[in-house]
Amino acid sequence: MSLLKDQGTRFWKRPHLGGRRMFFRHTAAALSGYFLLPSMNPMETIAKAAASPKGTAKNCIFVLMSGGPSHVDTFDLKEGPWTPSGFAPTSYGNVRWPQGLLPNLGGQLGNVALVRSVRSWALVHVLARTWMMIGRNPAQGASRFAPHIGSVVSQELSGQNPNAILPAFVSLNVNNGPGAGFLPPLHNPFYLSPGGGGMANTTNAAGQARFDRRSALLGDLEADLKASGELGAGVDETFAYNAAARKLMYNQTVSNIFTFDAAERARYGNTGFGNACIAAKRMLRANEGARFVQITHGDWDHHENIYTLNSGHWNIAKQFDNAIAPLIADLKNDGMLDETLIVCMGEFGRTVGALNSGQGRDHYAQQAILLAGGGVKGGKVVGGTNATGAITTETGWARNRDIRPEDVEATIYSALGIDYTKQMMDPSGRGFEYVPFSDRDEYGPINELWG
Amino acid sequence: MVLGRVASVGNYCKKGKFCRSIGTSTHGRRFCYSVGNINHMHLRIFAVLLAAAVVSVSAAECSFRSDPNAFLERQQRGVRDVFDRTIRASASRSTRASVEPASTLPRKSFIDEEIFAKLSETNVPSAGLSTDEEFVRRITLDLTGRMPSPTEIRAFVADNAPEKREALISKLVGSPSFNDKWTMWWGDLLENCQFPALFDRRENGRNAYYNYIKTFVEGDFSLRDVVTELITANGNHYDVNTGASNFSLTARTNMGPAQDTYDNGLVKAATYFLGMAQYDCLLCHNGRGHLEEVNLWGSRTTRMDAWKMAAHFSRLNMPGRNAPSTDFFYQSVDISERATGTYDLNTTTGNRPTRAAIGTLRNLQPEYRVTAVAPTDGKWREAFAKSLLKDPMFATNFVNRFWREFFGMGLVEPYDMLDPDRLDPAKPPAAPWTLQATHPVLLQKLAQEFQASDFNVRYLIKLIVRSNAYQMSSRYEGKWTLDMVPLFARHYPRRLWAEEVHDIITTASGDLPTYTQAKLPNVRYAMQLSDTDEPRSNGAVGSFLNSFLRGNRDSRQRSSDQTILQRMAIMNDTFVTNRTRAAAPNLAVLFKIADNKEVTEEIYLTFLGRKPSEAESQTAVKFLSAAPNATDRNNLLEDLVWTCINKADFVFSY
Repeated sequence: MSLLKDQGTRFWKRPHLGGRRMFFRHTAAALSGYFLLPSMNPMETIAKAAASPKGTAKNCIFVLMSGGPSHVDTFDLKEGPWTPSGFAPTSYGNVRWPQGLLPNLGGQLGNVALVRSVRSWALVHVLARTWMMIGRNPAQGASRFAPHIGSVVSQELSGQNPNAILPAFVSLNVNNGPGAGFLPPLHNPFYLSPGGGGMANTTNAAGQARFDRRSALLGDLEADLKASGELGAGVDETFAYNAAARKLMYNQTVSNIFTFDAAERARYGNTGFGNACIAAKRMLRANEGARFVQITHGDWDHHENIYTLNSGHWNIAKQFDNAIAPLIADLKNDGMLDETLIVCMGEFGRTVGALNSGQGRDHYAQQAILLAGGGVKGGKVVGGTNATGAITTETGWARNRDIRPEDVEATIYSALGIDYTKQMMDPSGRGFEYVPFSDRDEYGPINELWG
Repeated sequence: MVLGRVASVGNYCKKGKFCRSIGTSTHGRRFCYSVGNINHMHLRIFAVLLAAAVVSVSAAECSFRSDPNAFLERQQRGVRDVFDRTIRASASRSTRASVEPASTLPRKSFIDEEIFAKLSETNVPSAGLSTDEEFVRRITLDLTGRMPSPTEIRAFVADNAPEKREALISKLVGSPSFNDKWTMWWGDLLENCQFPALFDRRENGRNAYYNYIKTFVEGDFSLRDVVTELITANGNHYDVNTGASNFSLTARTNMGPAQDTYDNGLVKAATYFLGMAQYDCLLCHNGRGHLEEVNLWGSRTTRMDAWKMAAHFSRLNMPGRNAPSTDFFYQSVDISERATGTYDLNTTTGNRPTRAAIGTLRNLQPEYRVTAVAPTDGKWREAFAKSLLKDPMFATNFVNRFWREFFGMGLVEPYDMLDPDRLDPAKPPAAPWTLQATHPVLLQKLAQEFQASDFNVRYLIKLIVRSNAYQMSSRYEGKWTLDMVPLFARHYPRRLWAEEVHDIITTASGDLPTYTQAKLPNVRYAMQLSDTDEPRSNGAVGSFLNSFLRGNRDSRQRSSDQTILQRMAIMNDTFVTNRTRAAAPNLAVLFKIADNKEVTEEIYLTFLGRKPSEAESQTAVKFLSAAPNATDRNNLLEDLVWTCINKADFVFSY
């Protein structure tokens, strides 16, 4: 059946597939193991508009600046009586930059793009953060099982490396969050908090020799159950997952990727965030399957005492600066920056102008984000705001409106060569659009980033 | 989930090779399932086991061979191959006949009548009854989240009383561990958590709600009373006497007009209590033009209809209490009902599309669906509760949810999108729609029975688990095909909850932790934790529990998916490995058993809730006999304990 004849038809009006689908809808992954059923065939694309993804990036590093960084104190500097002298605002062309706060990144401005016409839809942390990660409103009905952007990327790209040992979607420094939704569980984020001493839970307290002995015993004792399969597919899956887990155990390649020394950690600032940046770089460099790495870095939620030296905003900005700058530099030196899209974004910005009564800034919809690599032209600013940073005055792109999380989502997909207009079948029957309302072309990639 | 047509036995791929691994897509294209978006995990085990299934595509060309897990994870072909393997029962383990025709199993209630009759009609043989050993483990886990002790298992198996299963069920229902498990279950349903996305319940509110839930679970409650209280309770949400007011607070939707909160009140009530989450869709737009492929009733329902339901919440008043930061009630919310107010059509911002006046109609009065009943006095939430309890979907929703809990799959899936226009077998919908339930008559009868019991949940649970349909074995030794799945021809194993896994390990090893929670008593079992984010006082254990996907009671439901991280945790997390050590209290005792066959049996009963098969016993005894001295023997025993925890059947209730 050609999909062309349905172009322009609202997706819910397209002919559905009939009785069998209704019958098997029962068997929706309520039963463990039954996600193997054909009903879980998300490759069933139901619509595509004409899209031309850029395809300039192979990988993406998605830095979630958790808590909502103050945009006027980072990527969209606005000076006033409140500006601490330590910020040492410096001009790079007509970009004002808090050189004192973010000195290392100041040296990398030629490699980054700042986008200043971004506006969040929500001002509540979890809502806005989830919105960013799933690229749609979490409070709407169909979002109950919407996948993380990283899971969609995993779904699209993990097949390119059938011999990979790492999952395509890795999430660093958190251990929960939006997951694969209705996509197969293999696209769930693989959570790690790297410290430089290898990957967690890949060694056994009893030592390798005893671990091997235990594994052998396990294999012997399970032989009958494996052969008979008499408890069904759900139980049988366990063997598959065990084997995949064992592949990571005592694995030199894995160990190499996640082992890095004190000197390296120091170069990145000796912080959890720095370590995660190192791990991301090493994973991508090793080319062992990881394609989308999220790093969560917080807390930027400075309602009070935002400018207090050696605390709050200063500290977190330093951590950020000490890690992102060498990350960009290292990727550039390795020749990997052009194929690695870096996105640094929080869930919203913060209030502008004078500080609040607690000497801080509160949640605010206007925000500014940073992108680098993956084909994005460096030394660029997209969009601009008014004198205080409160609203967008120049949108900076063809759609001529505020940029939204859905547009950032589309940008990521486009950079990675993923058709961002794709729609797939989902459990509700409504259909899942990679980017919401793609049949109305409501959101799209920020093509201006490519020059 | 959507399915393509069931694949035929084999086909030709684009390379012109014939392969049993290839099926046809719904669009008639033929492609090898193993190319394309391949998952990358390489599994030799499956390659070996299923090599026979791949007929003539060479290993070099066929990524199935190099990536069998990806293949399996995705395609029915792989599932079918798994199911089609030759089954050899381990004789010493299974004392039952293999696949029995459903007509031979005794029918203890209308549940069995409906399930077995359909199996007989469709000529699908059923599994046999579970053995006593299988049953005692399963029922204890399913009802209480704990495993029976070796003593309990032996006693149950040896008992000759004909009604022993009945007696065991009666003993377990209402027991303290039963109450713990179902308190957790209701906490999941009612989404009790501290910081959902849309508002802050906080610790004191979470605690008040937890205590409310725990109290009603501990009594032999009628769901009628509980749901009425949840919908209508007023008071402060921190106040332990009005903990039920937390339900209304769950409606709270910040960053929008009050109508967003009223709408969400309906969505929560409709989802939890009626299984009709499609109201969430309808509060943004009419069903027509949107839900034609999703929900028949929904496609005929308008936004106006949904507004009139939401209007029942439009007198809800939830201001924050102005208390100083030193006061217990700081940041709490006082829930009450205003004497006046309407659902006004005057919003242009917030989380939902514009609500605009329609001609001169500027506001709405509540009206309940189908019945069009309107409140007669000013108390709209009370009126809503009364109407909801009379709504046939109330009973239908809950019997479906409990069925799903015990059978692994609802009679209707998805379980929160019940379609009122597709449930009555006497009034089937027009083609291409079909009746929504696998067993429409059974669903109706269950709903009627639940209603007749005055919505007694313990009665419903007992009714379900007393049936032979529930008590069937999960071992199916005949040819299993996908068509059999909705017929419930066997029991479906369920992966255990995080809390169950945790509690089995601690109980079996005798190494019970103590977890503190803010302003609540200490607990020793994960099943007693007040939400799925605890123990906040122990991040490492929290991480271990999270690897089993407890969900956050907000944007993520609890999941029984397996993950690689989960398996890595159960292999190596110190939570587990510390409890396999000879020094663990219970192991110190067990390891003193000198006879290897005996100690193997005891370890199996303690950790796996069953005796080892003859083959397993021999393997284990051989393994243990290699120890030249006591220390080495202890090491080998530790290995055996670790192995039991890592076995596939450990994490399942089957």
